[in-house]
Amino acid sequence: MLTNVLIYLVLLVIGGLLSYKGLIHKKLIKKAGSLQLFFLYVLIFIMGLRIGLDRDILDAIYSIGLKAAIYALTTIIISAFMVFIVSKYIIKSHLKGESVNDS
Amino acid sequence: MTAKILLVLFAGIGTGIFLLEPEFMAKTDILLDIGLCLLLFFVGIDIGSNKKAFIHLKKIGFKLLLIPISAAMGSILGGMMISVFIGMNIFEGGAVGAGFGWYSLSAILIAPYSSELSTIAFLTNVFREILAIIFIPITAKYIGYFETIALGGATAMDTTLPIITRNTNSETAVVSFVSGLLMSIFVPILVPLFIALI
Repeated sequence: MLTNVLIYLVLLVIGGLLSYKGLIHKKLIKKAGSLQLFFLYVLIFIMGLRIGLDRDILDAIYSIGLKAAIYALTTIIISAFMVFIVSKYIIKSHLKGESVNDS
Repeated sequence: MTAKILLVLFAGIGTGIFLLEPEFMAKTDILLDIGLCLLLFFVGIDIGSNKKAFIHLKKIGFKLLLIPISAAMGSILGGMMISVFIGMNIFEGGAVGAGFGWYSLSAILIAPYSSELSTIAFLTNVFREILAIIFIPITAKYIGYFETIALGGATAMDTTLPIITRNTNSETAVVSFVSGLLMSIFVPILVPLFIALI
């Protein structure tokens, strides 16, 4: 896991520094959004593929699917609610509805 | 965007079930790694091109750490609440909630205690990742940007980071990576803690 985290961090920092220092052509920066979207869909497809290929997941869905779905839904709702409260009343920077991907 | 994401996700699931053999799984590891690395590089380009992002984050300062902390607390609380309703031990619910979407690790950590709970944790966190992929665009549009990080949980630093970046802004992308990293560190600490409390 640690190696992966380091690789992700290095790639993020290299990409960030190159564009921060203006070393990436403006055309590529403009294209970065659509390239990002393309790779995003590829990534989601692969994630779906992995779920479909994993027979353990499919077997588990039949036996405890409903219980797990309720757990998943509740944990993300309460988690998002807590962050909502913290960002609105403590951080006081409740970002919403600004230009999406304002780069 | 959500409709397209769902379509692509289910196309992937369908292809995995009906068209490919389970042995193909090993190849998806490499594909996933390459895809993630390319995406994160472009996310970096996106973040770096917005110089205002860092100034804004500096203004908020250490308060930003409250985001992963509150997201983690909410997730654990949600798990505990549901365990009460379905008649399970409250700390079992806490252990499931403390997986934060990292399904492989949380299931492995719980397995020595109970294989049934391990399976619940595994599937809960798989569903959590799917729900995050689906609801991040909607949350960003109607609720707020930082809330999308809570949906991603531990995956906010890798698999759901590109979706968060795409639907929010550069500030949120930076906070998302840091938050996902911290929540990933919490998983191997908190899951065994809740198991010990059962």
